Amino acid sequence: MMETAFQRTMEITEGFLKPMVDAFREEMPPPFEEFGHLYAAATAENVARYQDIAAAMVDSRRKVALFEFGLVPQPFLAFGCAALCLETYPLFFTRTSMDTVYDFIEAAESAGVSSEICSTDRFLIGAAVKGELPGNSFFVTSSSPCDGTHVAYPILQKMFESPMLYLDAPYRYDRDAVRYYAGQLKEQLIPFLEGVTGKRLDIDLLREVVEESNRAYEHLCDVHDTYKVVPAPHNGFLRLVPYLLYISGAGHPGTTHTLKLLRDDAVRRVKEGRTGGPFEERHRALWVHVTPTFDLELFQWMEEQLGAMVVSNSLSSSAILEPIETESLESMLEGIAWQGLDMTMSIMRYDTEKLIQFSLNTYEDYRCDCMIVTQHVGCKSICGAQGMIRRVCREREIPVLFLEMDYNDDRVLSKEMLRNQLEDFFTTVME
Amino acid sequence: MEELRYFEKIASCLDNDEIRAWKRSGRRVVGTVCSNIPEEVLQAAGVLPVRLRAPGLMDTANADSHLHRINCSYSRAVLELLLSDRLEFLDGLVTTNTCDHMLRLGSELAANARIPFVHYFSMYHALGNASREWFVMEMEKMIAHLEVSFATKVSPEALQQAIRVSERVRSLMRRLNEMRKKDPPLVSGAEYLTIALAGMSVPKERFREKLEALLPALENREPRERGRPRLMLVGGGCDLPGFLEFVEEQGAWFVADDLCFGTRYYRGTCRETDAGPLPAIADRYLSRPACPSVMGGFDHTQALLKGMIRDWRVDGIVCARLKFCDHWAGFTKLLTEALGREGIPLLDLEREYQTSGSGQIRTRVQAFLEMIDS
Repeated sequence: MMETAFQRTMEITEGFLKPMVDAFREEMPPPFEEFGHLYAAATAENVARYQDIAAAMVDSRRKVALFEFGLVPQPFLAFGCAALCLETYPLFFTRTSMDTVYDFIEAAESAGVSSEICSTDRFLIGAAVKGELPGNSFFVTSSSPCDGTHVAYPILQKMFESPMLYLDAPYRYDRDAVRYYAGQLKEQLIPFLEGVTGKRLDIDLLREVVEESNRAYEHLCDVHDTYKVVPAPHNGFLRLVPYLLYISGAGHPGTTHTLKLLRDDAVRRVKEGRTGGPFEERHRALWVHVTPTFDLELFQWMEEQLGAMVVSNSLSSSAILEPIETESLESMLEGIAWQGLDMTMSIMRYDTEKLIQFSLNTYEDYRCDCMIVTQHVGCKSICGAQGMIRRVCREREIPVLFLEMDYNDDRVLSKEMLRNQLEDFFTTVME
Repeated sequence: MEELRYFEKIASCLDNDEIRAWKRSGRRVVGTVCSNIPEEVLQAAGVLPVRLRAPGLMDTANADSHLHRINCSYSRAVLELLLSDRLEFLDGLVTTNTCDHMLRLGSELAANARIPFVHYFSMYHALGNASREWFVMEMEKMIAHLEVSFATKVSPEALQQAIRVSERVRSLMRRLNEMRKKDPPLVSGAEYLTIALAGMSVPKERFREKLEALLPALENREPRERGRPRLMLVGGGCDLPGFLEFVEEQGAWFVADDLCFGTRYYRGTCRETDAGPLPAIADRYLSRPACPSVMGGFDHTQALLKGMIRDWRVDGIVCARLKFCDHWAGFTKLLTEALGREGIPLLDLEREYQTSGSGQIRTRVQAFLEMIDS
């Protein structure tokens, strides 16, 4: 049965997340009392993004941009759109309402979508079937990061009958590739956005948005740098926040403000030599690919029970390059193209050797002592890299744990079984 | 049929007498893993392109320890060929990123191949002017790599010659495909696939000679059983004539297909223009039914398939897709809905690369044929 668009999302936003902001501010449970304001700021920023989407749905002067990894929000914000990175949308529900996740996944499968396709894409199609995706919207997608994307968006287009633009994300990683992608942003994305919004590109507004995102980017790089300090200044859950904030809201002043709070707190702790705790950091893990999203307290449990800190993952560690050059339209589009291609999950288009080298660099930068590699059962790409990752880790004597699971769906590997495997690894291999 | 023996022998194995003769004359052989890799470029470099298949391979134990069980059985089969030293006759490999399976296969091949030339051809994944530009740039990269690796020169004239040879082959294959329009078709689906596979495994000129000799014999063939349901076969990684034969034995003919090992490989015409040979090559690839891995290609492909359904008077579609192939799973859903609106039934058969038949497939095909007949 079709429901009112975005209804469940806003019910959770207003009924669960908003009260949570106050709770984090006022009575953060121990031992995280001194981090309460950061949790509150990050959650409030999330609330603001979803409220903005809800507002744009009923505003005839605005549109909602539904985009995917392979793009970043700045071009949409420059056209006054509310922007939702669809690949982060399941995360909203896996942390708040697993019943909705099951409901959407089952709706997609009932509509004929194969259960072998990534659960993120099944979730999105199911959300469309159930009428949850925001209206007054359009889609922009690229051909990366994976087969699931290639499958989901053409189906969404047929179901939703919304305007959709497909961009060709090059499966190479050089300057030519960035220029090729930027060329499509100029020749295809901008005319498309002008068409769906009825507005002409205002280059000064684009520059303003990009400059705002550059400030956020600087904070993102700074805060990530602090995670290289041993022990790291923030716990595992907070360490995921800056990257997700940036990918979802780069160009929003609120995102910049929240990132600055996180950055200032982390930098102050490093300067004051107060980076340890509340639990002893005995191991520093690099988590390759996406961490399980359904176990909200996993990182705290790993830190408390196993002394294992997930100090980085292969997505958030990708923020390693320069901010976007704002001199001209071309330079801005090249920067946006680079961020979409090499700073998001689009890195899964890397060949295996480069993907591993990227992970190894992160492993060294963040002074890790082990790797945990998600074998997401819908991701043929990360699963297909298993053999080469295993060989390289063996050669370099890097302890590695492969976890076969579905990062959105705890029916494939339950929270308990997931923790059992982690416990076995850290109490045997790592002891 | 006696005239088909040559093609059956070639299709039944990967290495063959023609390849060995080519090698003995001091020339090179390069394996390719996808029909989107432009063979004209390899031909122009004096290289024999051979589309990799694994006929008769029963086990992928070595490859299974490199790739994952959710990687498709075609990608694991190709890797198994390499790991079990069955690709020793190759002087090079061209890999690509058709899908996640092929992307990871490409990396494994590059890491494990002990051959001098391994080239990664980065495929486009969205239709449009940009992809044409990308396709041309990729061909230029491949040419540069071939020239350095094999100390050769790929001239515009050599490219034009390769196009001409390939066009002659495609023209003959179109003539062969026309024979499938008759009732009964003059060539069965299994026979057509056998011939098509041979064309991917021998020098094009040699194939042309053999095909020119074969076609009159087929055209004068005694008609076979009339009135059987006329099927079209679509799907990925399907290069087993035995599978088509198994389905046809249930009382049908495959009169058309859109297999990348079959008709799609030969589809389209390369029209030389002032832009030069590379854009002409790109245009042919972009005009074919798009591989399901290409975004925004469904409407284009659907229109071409509907044209084939009309012209070849197809009663039903069989989609033989490989397990774990997301692209074909998604495409099949869209195609089922699109054709269903026009009353054209589709049988969705999930299979492994080496599956030629099974009791379950027999039952499902029989039920499908009964439904068409009723």
